[in-house]
Amino acid sequence: MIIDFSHLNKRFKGDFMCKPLEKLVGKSAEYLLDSYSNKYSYPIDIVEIVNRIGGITLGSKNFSKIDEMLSEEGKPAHVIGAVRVLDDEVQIIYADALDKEKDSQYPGMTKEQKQEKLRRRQRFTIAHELAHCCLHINANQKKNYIELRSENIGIEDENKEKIANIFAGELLMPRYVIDAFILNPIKYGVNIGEEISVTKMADAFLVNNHTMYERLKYLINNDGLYVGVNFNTDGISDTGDSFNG
Amino acid sequence: MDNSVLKEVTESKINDNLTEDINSGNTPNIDKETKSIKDRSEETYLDIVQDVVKNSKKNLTTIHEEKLDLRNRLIEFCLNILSVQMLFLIIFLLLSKAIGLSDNVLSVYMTAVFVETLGSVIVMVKYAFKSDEEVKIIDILNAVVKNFQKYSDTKNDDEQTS
Repeated sequence: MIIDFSHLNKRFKGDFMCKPLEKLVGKSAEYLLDSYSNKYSYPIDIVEIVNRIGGITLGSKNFSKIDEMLSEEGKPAHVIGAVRVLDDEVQIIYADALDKEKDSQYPGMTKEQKQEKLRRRQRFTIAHELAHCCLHINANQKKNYIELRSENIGIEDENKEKIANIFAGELLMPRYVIDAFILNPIKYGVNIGEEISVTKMADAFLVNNHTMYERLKYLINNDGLYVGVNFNTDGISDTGDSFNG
Repeated sequence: MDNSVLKEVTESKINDNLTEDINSGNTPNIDKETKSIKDRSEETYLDIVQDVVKNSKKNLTTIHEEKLDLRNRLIEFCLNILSVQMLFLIIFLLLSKAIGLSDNVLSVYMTAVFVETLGSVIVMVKYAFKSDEEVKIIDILNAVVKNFQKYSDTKNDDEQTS
């Protein structure tokens, strides 16, 4: 979802694009990995990538007030991240806590496990917001821009969000590493017997289990990869026991 | 949540709120060592395997499309020829007595049509349905994957023994 802040802080004609944006607009996830990290490594240090790009500030925040502002009757909003493009700075802000309602769905989780889940989601949020900077911000952006990442988005923004999620997946879970895991699961310790464990892969990439599951599903369905591979999805909700490539 | 909700909300309020209470000290750093999937040699080998798979997929798709196109063109061509010949055959049968065509001439004509049909089927099977190239590509793919697995297994054994 996009809010136009042109009336608040307009850039004057002839101003250049925001400096960190110049490095991001139109770039692919593979380009970012090649330039600021290593596409053959895992887990990807997204904070280090941001620091190497420069000009991007990271921070956590409690979004409850914004949730209240955006909530409709019977449709509570839940913002989990935001990106603000200012004159010469990009701010990426992520939620400092899990959603309380969802939190109660995991009664068996310890405090440490919840903290780890939050940390992994924050990593994905940063990658997701970087995706918006690369893909959805106009190269001639002359005005301040803000985009919120919400768990209950409208149809209008759904496609953009999906594309940003795919980009974030490519950034945090590089294809090369996934291929290596699947070709040689024993070496990388991501197998359970004959099956490839999605949760073990998620642990290796430091992403949440469902994020890993969606990334594999995307590669299987769109690129026709991993034919004949059995994936074990124990411990991941709404996926069944296992799925095949 | 759609944009109509946002329009109702004062945008500046969200902007103001976003600038407040940001904890920049809380970054999700990774607490474990970053590992690489190699060993440069395996990386190169993996790249080669991936390139072979990618190119094979591309080649198989091209071959399949070309054959499909050839098959459709041949079928269309044969159907047209056969239709014309059948039309002539019917005319000959109807007018055979009037124009004085003997049974021998009709037999020769029908045999020629049959042989020609058979010939078109043979050409189609030889060129449009032949799958030798695809089988070769798949064999190469199998060999590449098997070799990579052998290579990985050997490396694992070496690592375990050392």
